[in-house]
Amino acid sequence: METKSVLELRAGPLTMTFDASNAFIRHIRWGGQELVRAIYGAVRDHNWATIPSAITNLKTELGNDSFRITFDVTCCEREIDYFWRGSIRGDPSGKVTYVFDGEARSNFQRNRIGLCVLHPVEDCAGRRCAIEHVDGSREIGTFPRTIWPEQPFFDIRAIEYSQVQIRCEGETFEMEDQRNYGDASFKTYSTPQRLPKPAPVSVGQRVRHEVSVTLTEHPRIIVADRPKFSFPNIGRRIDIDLSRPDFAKALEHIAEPLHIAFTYSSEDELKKLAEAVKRIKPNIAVWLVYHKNETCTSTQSLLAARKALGAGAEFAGGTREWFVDWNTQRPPKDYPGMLAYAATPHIHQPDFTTMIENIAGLAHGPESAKAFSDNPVVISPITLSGPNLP
Amino acid sequence: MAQTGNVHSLTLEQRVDLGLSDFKPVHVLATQSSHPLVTDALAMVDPEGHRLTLIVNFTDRALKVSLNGKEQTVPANQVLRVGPA
Repeated sequence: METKSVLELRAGPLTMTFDASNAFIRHIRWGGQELVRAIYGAVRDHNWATIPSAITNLKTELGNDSFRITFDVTCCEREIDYFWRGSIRGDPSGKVTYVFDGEARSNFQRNRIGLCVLHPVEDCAGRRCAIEHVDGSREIGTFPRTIWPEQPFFDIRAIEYSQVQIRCEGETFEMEDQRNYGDASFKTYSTPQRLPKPAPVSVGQRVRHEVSVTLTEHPRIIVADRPKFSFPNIGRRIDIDLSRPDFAKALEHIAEPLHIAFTYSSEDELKKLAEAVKRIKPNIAVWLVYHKNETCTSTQSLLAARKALGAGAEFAGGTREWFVDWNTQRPPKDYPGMLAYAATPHIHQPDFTTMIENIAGLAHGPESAKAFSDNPVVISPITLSGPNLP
Repeated sequence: MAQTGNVHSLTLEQRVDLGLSDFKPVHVLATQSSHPLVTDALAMVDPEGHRLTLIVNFTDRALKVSLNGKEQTVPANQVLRVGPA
């Protein structure tokens, strides 16, 4: 059945369009969210020129929540004569499958033949994603927020982000950041760039690619295969009040390594603390140093504490309050210690749902700190019961 | 937070039982949840390379969760231990 050029399609909860002029599936959406910008087949010659395609024999079966489209494509120019048959199917479950089944009818040189997937920059840049590699291993990564010069991901078999899984079968795929060329998309394509180009294509040589897009309605958790980061030390914190004459008692009879937090206002207080440490020899993992007159401990104040208390433990300076203090009073690059701040998932609202929503937000502090410091952060204390400023 | 690779240490104001008395994690494996407001996971590795994954169900109903393709059932408002393996 012949149809109009652009078809509105539905696969269960997913909507999209099919452009019969070039066989692009475009704008796979779930509600208002664009999950996939486009899926299309391409034949590109030894100069990266895309060979024009002529689409014939288009057949469509369009239902209320499913569809099936088949068509033939010929790509002919100069010495190049390539034929591929396309089939696209949308299931009521929310799965879209695009098959490219091609065969060369002439000998020529190519840089790429097959399916490409475009991922929208607006929804993907900065978004975490899970990659299944062709060897079955798993990687958790992030779509680059700024334009990435190299391929963000290699040896791709499947990509998951948001609630969508995209499987790419038939060849090894990798991804490039098309913003390098002014496009508003990331592209997953076949034939890794590391392979020799152009590659010869012989008459009868076949390529079969299958890309499926599946909406993940049931929760899925992907765990990367390789350890990536050290597990943070979960320490025990003791706050000592240097204004009290008996402050040193808090340091006595403690075997486990401690995070010792104190606020000072004079060299004399540091001297008394140093004397107590010399006498008691507590097991100290980290000194958390605050100054009475500073929102965030200054370089000068932290150096004074280091000088008084000596080596043997690590030092952190900072704020007894939130990340905002470090973010608005950023430390110099040569800040002489780690950056301390407190955290809670419900400063603004103390209910359970808010806490769960804000778990993801807590990761943005240490991530953002990388932008202005090479020193790691010490998050202390983490308060679950609600704000309780020391 | 651990998955940022930029946290040296942390302290908790309230005592929280993470169920790690018999497991000494040295590394964190990155995870991704398709439904982070419903379920999420903390995956860890001990010095011998054994892996332990804690899956949390934030909802008040039992939840079927696919963990690397293998289905797990997590009781309502509970943490499910998978491993060490």
